[in-house]
Amino acid sequence: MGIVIPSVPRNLLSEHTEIPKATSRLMSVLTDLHFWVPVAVLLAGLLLLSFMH
Amino acid sequence: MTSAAQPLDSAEVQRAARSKKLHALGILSGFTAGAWLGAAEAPTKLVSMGISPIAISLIMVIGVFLARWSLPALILGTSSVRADVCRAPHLIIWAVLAGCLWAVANTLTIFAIRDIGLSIAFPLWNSNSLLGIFWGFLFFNELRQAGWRRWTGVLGGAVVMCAGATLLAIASSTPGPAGHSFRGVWAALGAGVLWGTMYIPYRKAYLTGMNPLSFVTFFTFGEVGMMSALAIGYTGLAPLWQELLGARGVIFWLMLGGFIWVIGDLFQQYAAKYVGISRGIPLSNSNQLWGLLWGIFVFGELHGRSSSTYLQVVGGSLLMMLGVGAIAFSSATGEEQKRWKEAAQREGRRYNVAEDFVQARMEGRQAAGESTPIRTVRDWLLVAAATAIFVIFAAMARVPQLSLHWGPAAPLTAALLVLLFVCTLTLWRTTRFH
Repeated sequence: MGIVIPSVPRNLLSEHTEIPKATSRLMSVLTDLHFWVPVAVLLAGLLLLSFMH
Repeated sequence: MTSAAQPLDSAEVQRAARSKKLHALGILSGFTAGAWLGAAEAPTKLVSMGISPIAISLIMVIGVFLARWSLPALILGTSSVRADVCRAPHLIIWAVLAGCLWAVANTLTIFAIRDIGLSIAFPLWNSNSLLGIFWGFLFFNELRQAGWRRWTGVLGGAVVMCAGATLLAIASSTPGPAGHSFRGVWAALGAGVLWGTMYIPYRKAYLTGMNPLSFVTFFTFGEVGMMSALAIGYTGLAPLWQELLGARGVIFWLMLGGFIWVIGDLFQQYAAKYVGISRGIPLSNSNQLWGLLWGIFVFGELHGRSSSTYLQVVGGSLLMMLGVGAIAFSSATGEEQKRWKEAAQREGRRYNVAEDFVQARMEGRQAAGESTPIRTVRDWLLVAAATAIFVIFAAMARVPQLSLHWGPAAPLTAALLVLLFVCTLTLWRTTRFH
């Protein structure tokens, strides 16, 4: 009997959690880490602009 | 055994050949994008009267808005845009977000140029391609299992291009005011981060099968909405209106700049789709080289400058070309492309987009059961309305009092048209714009 090695996620950042099909697309966007990176950068950019002005 | 294995091998061979073809198409799109994005600066150079930079940006963005709706309507028809949106409606949010990022970054560059001058500001915000490589690697499996040669080609090429861009910016700039240098550096770096991050929505859209022609139509709502809000916020509605009225003689040239920019941006989108953001973005950043060619040869910008300036231009241009070549020859290996597919499958599962559709669009072909896009009367009306607006502003436009060198303008324009023709034809033959 061979030893069963549990599979390890190759990349935690890119292989983020699956969302069931029934969940709305909006929820899929809001729970997507990739979405919050540009949002955070946009807010930081607007903040920077307000300091510039 | 042999008979079962042979068809599989043949399918694999066909898939590999298709991948190579799409990679070459992405590289060609990146080159063409650089040329057209660089040429977009030419009409804006005709505007020398005192209009605020924010008003200039706003007028260009209005031209961009018209082009982003009329060109897709002309090429595929808005029915194709509607079908794309029905399949992946979540991408509207991504596209609008990317448009907002672009507008804020563009406004920050205005402050950066004002405070530290173009020579320091440009290389700082040009770092966006390095950030694009980082996001491509982190989120979309780009350059995974690519091997050190590809890594050296892409990363080394992008760094060499940044060095070349620095030399070109130093050569082409005038000394900037030193009053707010710290603030200017922050503004330029901020613009680079915003633009570099803007490529996350780009790649997201193309991994989910969206057509670049559909993505840009919604991108522009973010762009024009955010730019209008910033212009009104900074200038005030009544003063802004007065400024626009006063600038009506040059509105056409600025809108034309926006229109040309959109053509370049469309090719940039195809480059991001077929070679990823880590390769597509540095390639289209060669626009600085083209912008400088127009500046030097057509507008006589460096006339009378020292020989060291020309040396910087030649050195910077050679470095840019070297970087472009290094990236162009670092094609994605089969292993890397498998990782791209994994990222695409992950996106498809998350947003519930049919796997065969995502696969077909990644391969630049129509999915089974997908209806052929058709142009309707509405599309022709859109094109006619956009054309009419351009004609009206062209009738109001003043011919600028500038000494242009038409001799060099002719071959540059010819090069643009040849690239446009060759790239459009290749896109059509290979993908039918899918």
